[in-house]
Amino acid sequence: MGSIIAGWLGLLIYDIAASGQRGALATHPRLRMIIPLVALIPAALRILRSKDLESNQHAYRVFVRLTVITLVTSVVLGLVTIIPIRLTQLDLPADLLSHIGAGVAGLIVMLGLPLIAENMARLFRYRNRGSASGMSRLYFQGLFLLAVVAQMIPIAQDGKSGIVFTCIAAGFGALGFIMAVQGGWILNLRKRQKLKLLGLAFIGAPAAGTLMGIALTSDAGTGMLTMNPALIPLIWGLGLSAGFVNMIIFVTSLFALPTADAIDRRNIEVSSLANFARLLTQSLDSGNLIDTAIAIACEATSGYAVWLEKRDGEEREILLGSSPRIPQQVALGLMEATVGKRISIRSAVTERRRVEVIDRLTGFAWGGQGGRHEIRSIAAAPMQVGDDLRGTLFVAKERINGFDRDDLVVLTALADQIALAFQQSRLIQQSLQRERLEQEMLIALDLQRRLLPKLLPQSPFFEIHAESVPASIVGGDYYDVVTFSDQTLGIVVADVSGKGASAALYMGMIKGIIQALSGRCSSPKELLAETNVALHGNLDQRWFATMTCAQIVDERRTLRIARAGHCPTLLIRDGSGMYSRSKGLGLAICKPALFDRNLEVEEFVFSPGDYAIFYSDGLPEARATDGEEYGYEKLMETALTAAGIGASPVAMRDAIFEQIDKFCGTEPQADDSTLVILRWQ
Amino acid sequence: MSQFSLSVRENSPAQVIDLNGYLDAHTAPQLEQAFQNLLDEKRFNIIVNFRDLIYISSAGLGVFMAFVEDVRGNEGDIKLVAMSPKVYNVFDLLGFPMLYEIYDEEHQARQKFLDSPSSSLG
Repeated sequence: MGSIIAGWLGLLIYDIAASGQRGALATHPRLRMIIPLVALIPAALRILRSKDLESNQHAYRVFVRLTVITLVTSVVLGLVTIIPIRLTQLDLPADLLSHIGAGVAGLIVMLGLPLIAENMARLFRYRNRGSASGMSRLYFQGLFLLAVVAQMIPIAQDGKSGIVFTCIAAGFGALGFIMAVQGGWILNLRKRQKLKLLGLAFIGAPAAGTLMGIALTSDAGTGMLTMNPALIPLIWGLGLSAGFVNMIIFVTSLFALPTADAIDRRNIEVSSLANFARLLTQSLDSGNLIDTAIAIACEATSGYAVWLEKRDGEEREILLGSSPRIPQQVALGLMEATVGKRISIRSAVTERRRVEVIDRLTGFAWGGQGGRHEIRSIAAAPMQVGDDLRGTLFVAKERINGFDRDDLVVLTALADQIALAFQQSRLIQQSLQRERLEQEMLIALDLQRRLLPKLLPQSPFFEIHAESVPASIVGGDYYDVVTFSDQTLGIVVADVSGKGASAALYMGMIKGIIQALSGRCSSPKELLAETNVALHGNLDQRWFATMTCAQIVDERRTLRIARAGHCPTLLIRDGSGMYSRSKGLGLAICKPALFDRNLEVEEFVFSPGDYAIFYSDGLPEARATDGEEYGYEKLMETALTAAGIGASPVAMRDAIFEQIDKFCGTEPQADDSTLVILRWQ
Repeated sequence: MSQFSLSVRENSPAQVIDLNGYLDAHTAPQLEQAFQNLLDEKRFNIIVNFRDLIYISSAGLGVFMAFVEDVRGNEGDIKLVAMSPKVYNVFDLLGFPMLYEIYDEEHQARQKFLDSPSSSLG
């Protein structure tokens, strides 16, 4: 645009400067011819490289622009003709004012025509998708070539060739008709847009004609064309094409009008389809989902107000959205309006599972900020997923007989779609919830791992290995190492009832209690008794824990063991096995007095190569596919076999787990397995 | 695997809960509900028959602990009968025999209720 103005102003100044001198045009003809090309070539390139249109709506906007530009150009050009112009015999401007007049007219035309050409080129190309687009390019290339040729040869000064050339230019303009035929994109526009197109084309065609008329017949126009022959083919070509385009669009919109309503509906249906998909993707946020569903239903059925009644089991919920267009009381009243023989529309939909309509209603009016409203007809459709009724979709309109067959089809489909979206929303919520829980379980698992001691005591006299394998993510087994008040070491193995996060919490509590108490206790019995005091009565009555506590009294060979309801400790001494099953109740089961009275302590002396094996009930109760339990006997046999070959604690663990795995096969285990193995050396 | 069922019947002066199958964390709430119903009906003489119970987990054991104080506070009792050796071993390890009366036969427990309507331990 800038180059056009610059080029043209340059030309104007040159002409004005030259107008004083006689025969200026004859003096520097080449220079005079080249200057307009400075303005023309960038415009031509822009037109030939113009971008493709993207949609029917885009084509519509481009046509509107085309018409407005044509109109403005012709009006402004009309204003220029007010300037009195005198021409010489050769149709050249005779004085300075005439030069200015012709020059300004040229500038206006030169500004307007490239814009007209560009918009038209885009319209041609949009219509002529594929191979035909080459044709439209060829058309404009030809037009600009003609312009250059016209500028190079001062045709106007030779009457005969001037007429021939003008004929060629007019022929080119007529070709525009071929380019402009068909306007398929108009069919898909909205009715309102078609009406607007009709009006614009009605103005646009005469505007193009006026533009040509002024340019070709007025004095200013004649002067302009004589000075700038390049404009002749452009005026002819683009003027005629623009006229044709407008005429064809006028006719096409006129014929498209009778079907406009049907096509509008089809377009709504197509957009509903897209909206349905949107509905499903919006399922994440249920509040938003309701508003979207209501908005889509309003649009698809041209309803005034839409609301949902959601069913969840026996529960009913009326959803009017975040900005209801109808008061809840009116909506409730409408739902009870009767359809046919004394059955409310709400019940009718629920019972018959099909869309129901009331065509004529009275008495459902209210006044609000937006004035008075009255609902005159209502339709309702069941929201179903499979055979499961999830609710009812209600649409109300302000006119009687507001629903035709198509509305009801759309309504039915939409209702099911909304039900599906709700279902999906719920599933997504559930899965998010599950994910959160899993995350929390992982945290609990991490917590639980931290509760187990990182380092086990080391001694020249014994070796310890400990391991805990939870059955689910988080188990209830726990082991620890404690130091008693006399600095002797102790081993604790416990099993808290319950699973998952609660087990991990209880375990943390037990660890705290034990670590806090052990330094004040001098024996396993005291530690267990104190722990029971701390736990009893403080927790859920159903909750309890079992625990075995062993004190390494004499680092060289002696263990003191107390058992609070826990699995009996497996002892292997001198190649024979036994279970230490001293008396003792589980923790948090009974009052301290009874617990203390029943708690026994046993003391065992070992030799090098002897074992004390502490474990949880997951081992003897490990189950095979047929339901049979591994049992205490097999556990002892396995341990004895391994002890026979002097297995290290790690090898002992491997032997026990291997045998249990072999016994259980693929059966998933219900309980955790914990193993603490102490071997004297 | 977690197959479990229970039924409640009257064996005057006691109510008998018959257990069947696997009593674990998943099935324990059923037993809890059965106890709760009996307590709501103010029936505090309760016999639990373990004849057809195959397995009991710690969650199952917890149920008995949850109700025994209530029951005994109302001058009743929960007596356990007809346990398989395996199930008995679980109770025994925990020291339950010191807290509950456990009998081989249901009629023994019933007789005990007849003899002393309010017996309690612990």
